[in-house]
Amino acid sequence: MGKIKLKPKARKGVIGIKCLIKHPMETGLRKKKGKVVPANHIVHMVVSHNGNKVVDADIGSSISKNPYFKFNVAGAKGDTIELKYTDNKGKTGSATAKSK
Amino acid sequence: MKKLLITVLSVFALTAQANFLGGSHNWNNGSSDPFKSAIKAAETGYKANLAVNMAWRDTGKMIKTAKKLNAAGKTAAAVALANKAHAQTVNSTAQTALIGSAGPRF
Amino acid sequence: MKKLITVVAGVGFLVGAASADVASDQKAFISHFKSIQPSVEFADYTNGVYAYDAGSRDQFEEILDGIPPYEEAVEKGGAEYLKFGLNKCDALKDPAAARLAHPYFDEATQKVVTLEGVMKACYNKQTGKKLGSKKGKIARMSAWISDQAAGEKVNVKVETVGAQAAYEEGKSFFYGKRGQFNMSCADCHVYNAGKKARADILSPALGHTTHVPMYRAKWAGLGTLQRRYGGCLKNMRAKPINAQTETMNNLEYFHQAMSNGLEITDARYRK
Repeated sequence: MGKIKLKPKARKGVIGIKCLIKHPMETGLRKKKGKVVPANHIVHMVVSHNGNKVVDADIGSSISKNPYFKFNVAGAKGDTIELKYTDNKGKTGSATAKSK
Repeated sequence: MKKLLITVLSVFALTAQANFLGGSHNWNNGSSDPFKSAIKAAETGYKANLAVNMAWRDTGKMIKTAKKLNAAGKTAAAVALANKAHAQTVNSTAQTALIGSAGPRF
Repeated sequence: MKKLITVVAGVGFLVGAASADVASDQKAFISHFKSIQPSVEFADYTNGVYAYDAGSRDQFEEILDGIPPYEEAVEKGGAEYLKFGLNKCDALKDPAAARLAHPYFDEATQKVVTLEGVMKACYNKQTGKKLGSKKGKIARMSAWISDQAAGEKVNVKVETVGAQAAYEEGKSFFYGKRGQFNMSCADCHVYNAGKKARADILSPALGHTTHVPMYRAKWAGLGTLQRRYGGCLKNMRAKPINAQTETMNNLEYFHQAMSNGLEITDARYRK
């Protein structure tokens, strides 16, 4: 649905992965001008390190707009980090970055 | 003569006193209708508060709701709410009087 | 002749007293904060509440080090500054200088002029349309303009009789109790700075204006200083006052002057 900013940084054998996913994260419970704004939020997110899944998360409507996440994974500079997500409308987003 | 003088003076004193106490003590807002009197007091007070940027958040809404209640025939509730709104305006006016001397305590 | 000398001396004294007042007001202000948080240095107040609380400072630095959520919006503000021709107005030609020059007291109109006020006027001149005062375009552009002055020190001048009057009005507003909660700005941000109000730490007023416009997580976006004024007034159950009106501008004049000497920062993230 939206852009992903992905910034992995390696320090002393650990890659700190910071990411910001642009997504409206509508709960489906909010009303605007009397009409319910339909649910539009991420439901599932996967983070991989060099092709191996390291984070498998069920994301719900309680996460707020444009969520920011941070993960730590064992690794080194140059490793590949990939983030993929799916939202309740079936739309997907992904981003890949090499750790600095 | 003395009796007349005393009566005239006391009536004068009482009316002058009533004026001096200000709008919040004007029991008769130009109407014998309890709602009209209450809502007029609230609206006058609110207008004065707005003019000096000291109005409270909910007063306007209370006035609107009181009018709706009155229109729906719920007079007692309408008068109670109008009085509540009026009380807010009185408090706001009291705050306004203190603003001029507001300053740091250090 | 004697009368003339007396009058001139009188005015001179007033003008002299005017400058002395901001400086002495600020000195008392700073020493108050020093007394409630002795370990915090003056310069640290650039980051406001983060100078007080280690836990939230860690989160703040994490976010800045990674992905400040306002990055894109501020970049967009820079593009919009050019797109809408704000660079063509004299007052905004040099954005860094513009940020540093405002707010100031305009002798001709006898009114405080704010950065956002000048931006609105310029936008209208260049496009014929109206610009809001609180969020969206104005917040983005003002944030970008302010970024250009990052590292420079706030330097609000209050030098004339008229300026002093406006400053004093802003000061009375700041210290005056209002709203159903009967609280003044000072009640939270001066006398109780550093303490908690429900789940939030009350930020010190010293350093409040170094990072405006700010990104608030609550807004999930940028907003101007006067956007926050409206929100705060509502929270005290007072009726918000329209942004960029005289009362709000006088308040900003005083508020910004209290941060004189602190560095302007581009770290705009707040809870």
